[in-house]
Amino acid sequence: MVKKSLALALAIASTISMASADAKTARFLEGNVAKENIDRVNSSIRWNTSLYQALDQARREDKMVLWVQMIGQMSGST
Amino acid sequence: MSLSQEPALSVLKNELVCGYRDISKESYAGFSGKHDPDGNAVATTNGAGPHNLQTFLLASDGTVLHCLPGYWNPQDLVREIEFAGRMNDVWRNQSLSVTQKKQMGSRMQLAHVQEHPHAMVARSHMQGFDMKHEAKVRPYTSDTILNPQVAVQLVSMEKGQKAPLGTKDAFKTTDRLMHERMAARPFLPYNYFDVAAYVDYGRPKYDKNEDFRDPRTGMIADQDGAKHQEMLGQVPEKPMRRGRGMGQRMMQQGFSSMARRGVKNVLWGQN
Repeated sequence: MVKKSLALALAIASTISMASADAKTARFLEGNVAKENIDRVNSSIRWNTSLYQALDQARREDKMVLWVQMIGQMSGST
Repeated sequence: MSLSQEPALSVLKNELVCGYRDISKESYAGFSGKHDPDGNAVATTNGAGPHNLQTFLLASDGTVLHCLPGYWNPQDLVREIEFAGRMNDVWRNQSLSVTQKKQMGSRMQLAHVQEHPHAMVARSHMQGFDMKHEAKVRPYTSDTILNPQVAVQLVSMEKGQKAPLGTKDAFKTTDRLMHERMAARPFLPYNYFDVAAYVDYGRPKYDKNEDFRDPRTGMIADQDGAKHQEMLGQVPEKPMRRGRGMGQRMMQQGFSSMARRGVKNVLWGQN
């Protein structure tokens, strides 16, 4: 867990310089870019749709579960 | 969603087991315009759209360590995931009683607000339409409002009108609201977590009309398209217009009812 926390802390630290972006700026992403982002998420991450299976995997791998509740589908319309 | 951006993507990929479910049919779900995967997107503020999206961090026994309502900036999401890791350490600490863990968990939730950097707080102002909703519906009872006398000034404002100076500060930021609400429900089993109450701030509808904006300016270019777009989620019934005859109203009711039964995603105008 300490190792994981360190990795997370490093991930945060590496982005501090990015954090000064203007919070008010509404960044607009065109559809093709948005689709690339969605494809990247879905190709990089295996999304469980069963909470039971996700928790079982988490126990085996000693990890936490990130469980998203959303309107729509991860690879479809939202 | 912000999950595609670093550092969130690497953390999700390497540090967590991920999963999701569609909450379209849940009573607490809000609604928004339907967005296809190749539709446009707009970055938004932390905590926007709480009824439409919730990100839980769960211990491997299903205990809720943390829950982020709505959309969150990727850096801020990772910061909160790191915090959930600390909550997990407490939850798994066998030298503490459950009561001690819950007390410690509540304190940690409240204390984490002070760890949020200024930029994160600046990204965590409630959307203007959500502020207006809270000020209109429950100005003196909402836990989102710090100064009701100032907040209610929003109620009489027209759409698009700039809010008076200081109005924004009459409301808590969503990063604070999130931790305060989590502090009130430490270490609950996922099945007992009262999502409806937890995400209850702002109006049920969240939409930025992304697909109807001009890519060059970011401004809404197709008002009519935005007004008549298809919606997803718990779309409310369209209110009956006054001044129609009884027969027309009955026909309208019958058609609407049939349409609701047969068509999952209905058309619905903007407010």
